[in-house]
Amino acid sequence: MKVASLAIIVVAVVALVIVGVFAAIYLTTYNNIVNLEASADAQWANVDVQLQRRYDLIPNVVAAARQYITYEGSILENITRLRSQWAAAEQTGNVNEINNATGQLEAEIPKFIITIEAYPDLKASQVVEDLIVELEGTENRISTERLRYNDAARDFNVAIKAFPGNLFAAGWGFTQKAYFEAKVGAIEPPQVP
Amino acid sequence: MRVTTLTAVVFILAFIVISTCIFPVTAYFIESEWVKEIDDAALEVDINTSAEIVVFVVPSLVGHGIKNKQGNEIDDIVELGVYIFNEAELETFDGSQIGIGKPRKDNGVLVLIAVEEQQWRIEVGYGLEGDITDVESNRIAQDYLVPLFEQGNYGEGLYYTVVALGNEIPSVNGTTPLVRGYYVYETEEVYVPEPWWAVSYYGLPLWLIILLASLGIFVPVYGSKRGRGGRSGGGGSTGKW
Repeated sequence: MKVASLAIIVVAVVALVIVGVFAAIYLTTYNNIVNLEASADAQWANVDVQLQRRYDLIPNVVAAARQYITYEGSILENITRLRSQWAAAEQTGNVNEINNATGQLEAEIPKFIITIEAYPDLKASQVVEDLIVELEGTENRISTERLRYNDAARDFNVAIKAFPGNLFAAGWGFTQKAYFEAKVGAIEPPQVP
Repeated sequence: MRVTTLTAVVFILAFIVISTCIFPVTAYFIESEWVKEIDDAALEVDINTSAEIVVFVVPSLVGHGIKNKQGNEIDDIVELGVYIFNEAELETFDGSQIGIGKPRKDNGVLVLIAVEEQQWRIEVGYGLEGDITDVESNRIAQDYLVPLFEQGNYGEGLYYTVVALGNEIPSVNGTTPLVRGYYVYETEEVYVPEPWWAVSYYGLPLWLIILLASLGIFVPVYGSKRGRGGRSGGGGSTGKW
């Protein structure tokens, strides 16, 4: 009688401890993943702010440069077209499309800056120089915030792939976050007229 | 016999002490008389505005040993600036601090110089992006840093750059109790891995620390931490001289 009740108590305590430990792991894992997702999303918003800043800036640079650039007008057309393409991709909200459009725009901007710097008249213009400084500053901001987004996304992705997150993540409805990378392959060949 | 052994030991110790004092000879980019001027100017800005303007000089973008999260040495001046601004542990007068500027105000400015590549970078903290726009930071560099650097007056160029940057930042009422104290950082001209007897912490050679520790004398190896300072995100401008 005494031994039996002792056994029951021991079994009950062990069961309670196991359930408690499991619940603790379950809850802390959930909270951890939620926090990581929130910081990745917040960092994505920071990237988006800078992409928007670039979108707003490009027409000013193009307008200022148009007065001087005469025979290489295609670069201005290209940049304007890729800017619109980016905006269209942004509307869809599809990360892959945004990545693709951003990569193409990103590949064109250094060419654009080099072209402008090759024009002595343009370089001498204070307005154009200031706009170029702003454009370069924006590009730097984008790459900085993007590195941080990738770090945050990596932390999140590891958390849902590694134990114990991998046991529950699918059930909670978490999916891998896409990394944000410039697509080197997306650079278009230079157009020969 | 005993006396000669003792003399030998004393001589060897004296040799080590003298050589540790003599060998780490470094030539500095900023002329020493300007280091104090720059420090004083930046301290005044810190007292008046609570913003921290830090000058950091690396001899080259290669070989400085500062690595990113993936373990690769950073060879791009913008990325290096962002790293030094946000991740590097820099000494202040009361312990080390990560992040330039005050916490939450994010009001730091980093003036980074890569000597060999002749590149400059002004990295502006999030909190000052409105006061020092990319264009303004570029103008300041073009007006003061570039012309004076071209004449070879590096310290003077940095001094006037720091003063001009400070003038862009509005002052705050009352003084800040949390001034940084140190504003000029310069790594050695040539990075040479040191021999074991020349490795030093906090100005004390390692062998002396081991000796003192073995004698039971407590030597703090880790300095105190001030915690996190300000943050930046790639704002500012870049150029060459």
